[in-house]
Amino acid sequence: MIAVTAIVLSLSACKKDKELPEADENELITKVSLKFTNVADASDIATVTWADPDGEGGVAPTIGTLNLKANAAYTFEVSEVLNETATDPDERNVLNEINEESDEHLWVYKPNAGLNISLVRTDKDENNLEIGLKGTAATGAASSGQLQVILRHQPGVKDGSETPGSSDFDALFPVSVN
Amino acid sequence: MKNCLRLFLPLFIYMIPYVAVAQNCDSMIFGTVRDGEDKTLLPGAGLLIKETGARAATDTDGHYHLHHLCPGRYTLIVSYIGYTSREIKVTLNGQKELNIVLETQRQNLKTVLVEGVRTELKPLQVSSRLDGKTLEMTRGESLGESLKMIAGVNSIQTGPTISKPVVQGLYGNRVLIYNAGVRQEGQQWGSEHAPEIDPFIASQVTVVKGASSVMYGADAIGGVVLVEPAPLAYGNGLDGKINLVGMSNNGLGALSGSLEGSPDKNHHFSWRIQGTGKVAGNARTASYYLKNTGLREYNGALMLGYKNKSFTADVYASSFNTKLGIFSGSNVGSTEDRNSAIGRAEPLKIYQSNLNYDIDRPYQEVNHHLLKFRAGYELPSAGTLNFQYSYQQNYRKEFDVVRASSQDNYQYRFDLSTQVADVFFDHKPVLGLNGRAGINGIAQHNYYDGAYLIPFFKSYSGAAYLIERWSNKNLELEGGLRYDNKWMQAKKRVIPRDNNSPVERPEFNFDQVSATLGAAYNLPLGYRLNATLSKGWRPPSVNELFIEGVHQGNAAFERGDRNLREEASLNMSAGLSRQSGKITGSVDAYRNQIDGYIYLQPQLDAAGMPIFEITQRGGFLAYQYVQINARFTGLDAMLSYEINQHFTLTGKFATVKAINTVNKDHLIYIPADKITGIVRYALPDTRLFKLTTIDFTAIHVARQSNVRDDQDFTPAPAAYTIFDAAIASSIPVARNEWNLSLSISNLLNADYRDYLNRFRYYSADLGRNITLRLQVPFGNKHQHIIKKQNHD
Repeated sequence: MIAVTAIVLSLSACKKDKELPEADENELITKVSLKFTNVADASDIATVTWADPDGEGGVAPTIGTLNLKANAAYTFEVSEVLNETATDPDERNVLNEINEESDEHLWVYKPNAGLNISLVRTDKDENNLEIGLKGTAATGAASSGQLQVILRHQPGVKDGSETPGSSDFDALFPVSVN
Repeated sequence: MKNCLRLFLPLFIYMIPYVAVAQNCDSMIFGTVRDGEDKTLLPGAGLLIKETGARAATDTDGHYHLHHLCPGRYTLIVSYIGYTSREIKVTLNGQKELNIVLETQRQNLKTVLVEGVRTELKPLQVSSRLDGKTLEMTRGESLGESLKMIAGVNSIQTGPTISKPVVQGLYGNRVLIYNAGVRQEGQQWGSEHAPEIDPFIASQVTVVKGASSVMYGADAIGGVVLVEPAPLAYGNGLDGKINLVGMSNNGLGALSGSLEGSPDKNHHFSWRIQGTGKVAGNARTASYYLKNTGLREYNGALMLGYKNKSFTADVYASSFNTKLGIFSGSNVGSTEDRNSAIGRAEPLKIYQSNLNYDIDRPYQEVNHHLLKFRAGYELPSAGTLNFQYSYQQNYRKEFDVVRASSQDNYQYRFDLSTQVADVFFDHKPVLGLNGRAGINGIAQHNYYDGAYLIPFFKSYSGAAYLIERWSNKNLELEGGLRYDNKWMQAKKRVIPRDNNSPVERPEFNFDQVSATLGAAYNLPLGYRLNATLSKGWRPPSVNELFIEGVHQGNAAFERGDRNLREEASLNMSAGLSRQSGKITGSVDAYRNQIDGYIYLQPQLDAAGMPIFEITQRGGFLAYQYVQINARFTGLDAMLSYEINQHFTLTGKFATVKAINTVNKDHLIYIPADKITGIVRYALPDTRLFKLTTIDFTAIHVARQSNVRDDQDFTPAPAAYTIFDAAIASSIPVARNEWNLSLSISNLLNADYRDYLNRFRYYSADLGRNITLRLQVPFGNKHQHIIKKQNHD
């Protein structure tokens, strides 16, 4: 047995100890920020950020709280989508890519029941379907809850509804309206 | 003289244009060898064709097959320990059943002539085989699919393109596959990784049920699938075969061809080349197509052989290449995606598509290359010494639905290389014992690129084993012992997805002893009892130790556990079988106790609520590889009754229960009870159609009601019944016999879902499929023999 194992060992010993590949998560998103601007007062800006610098697994993501005024009108935009693990700047800035492929993406905003906020997408792609990178938000009476933000990736199947495709991003942001 | 005759051959052929006989070298003799007195079957009897040197031995059931014979007259020499050898003259043309009886040589056992003949040694335990016409009727299907007709064998599927065999409830790493005598080492990191084998290459597929670690190695605690190409033929001339398959359901077209010959005058050398191409489009359920379920497959194999009186050597090289589409509707990015996909009665219209051959993301690309060298040397009085070395390279790339910047890249790539060396000695009878002693070494390296799922690893294993068999007239005993040791070192970052995390190299060392004890007893009237007790084990695989990430298609975050220990199994099985007579069949019962059974368990918190792993795509159900104790008990039965020369009824039944003996839960993904009934009608031969049969088959699969609804994402699907029909015939064309068949599966286009198909969450199973198969043999072998026959 030793002889056989030795033969096999010697035949395979020529393989070098390879380096581990760079952790390359093509579709990774480590940071998403949303920026809300008060229509009545352009200096009143609320930004909220979701961050998971070590990617899937490891440490759980940190999520900020979105603080908005009651009974107010806002415009909002997705201000930042990053993959901070990527070294290539194009790969790092996921937002640019989503902009370029707006006909394959749809942002979905779902406030939970009891949270007095309604969001409307205002931007359209080349097929006249909504994208959701920009929109307007209207708050009602003071309340708190969670806003679910979903990025749907719908290559070749986008029809304006949330259903087709799969989720590239899906997170719950705590929201406080007061 | 021969050369002279050959010159006249064309003339002869011209003179006998109406003798349309099968003159290709695809004839075969098969049958049984029995004791002349009490008619018991004799396993291990040697058969030799004097003229060609072709050899075979009866298997554990006393059956033999001699394939690839040219039509002609032969002398068959049959011998068996303790019996007088016989010489039998046979005129062969097509298939011939020849049941041979041997008389006991009572006076002096020492003078027994033992031919150094042995087919591949197989364990005494329960096994089932697909060959001949049965195997032909599965051409075009994947290996996993084609084995489903054996009672107790199922396949675990990931959509229509990916299926893995399940033997008596066990699958994956617990069922070893031997391809042309080489232990198949592909990536088995999930049930969506199908065996990388071209079934067209096989002339026989055998499933050994139950633990068979002693002969086939640690891991084989569920069973072994042996995919065996026909032995190389050492005869005159060129010979070949073309297989054509067309299927209506997914527009599958398959073409497979082989060509073989023996170039030298003395037939010391032989060669064969084989190639297969297969293309399929989207598969169809009863009422809609499944988008992106096509496949392409291109395979090739080359065999070279040399043999003289006491030395044989052969080289086997094969390449398997496939691209498999994965149903678009199963591409779930998050738990919510999955839940809404599961909630739909049928997939979204945009995923229903039509029949086309486009393969988009998600898809898999798999390549498997094998090179084997084998040599055997027969030592005059001691036995045969064998050496085998094989090298396998497996590449797997998985492509997910991604944004454009990653569109040219794979998301996962694995690169596994395996070298196996075997030395074994089949000794001649000593004190009535026949057996084999061997040693085995395996070296394995795995690398990955792209995203992390499993680490780099290297492993070295060594084993030594001994199997002995003793038999007298009615009783056969088998005993075996094996020791395996496996060393493995992984290489990964402590936090795999963090480039700044330090590299670690955890090491593992596993070793255990396997043992087997078997007995078979031949009862009167051809009945045979057998029982096997075997102890096997399996070291945890690298994914069970280190996987970390989301597997596509099931939206579950899987984690390995590096503290897992070996699985140890104790397998008991017993069966009763009968191979000849009006009633034939087998009934086998088994009990397989597996301590430390490793499986993926959904993680629950203290309150019993599922734990979610939070990622950018929301929460994924957390799964962890854990060890429990499990017990598999079950029964496989097959019974055939030949009513008359036209009608045969066959029934098959299989049931298995798998219990977590710690908490008494039933395990998930265990086959539901299955019952099959077949009515076969054999038509009388006509001038145009020979050996024509018509089969009607009904298959009923019960609901898997052992598992609770909360053990899975959805309750187990309802029971279903499907009907199949087939007609097959052999047609003499020119000088060859073509095989033609037409079969329809799911005749009534039933809408059903199968419990073992992981995509039952997203879509129904396949609808009606009409398959047309044509096998065209060609060749000019042994024309001088044909001529001689005409002289007679």
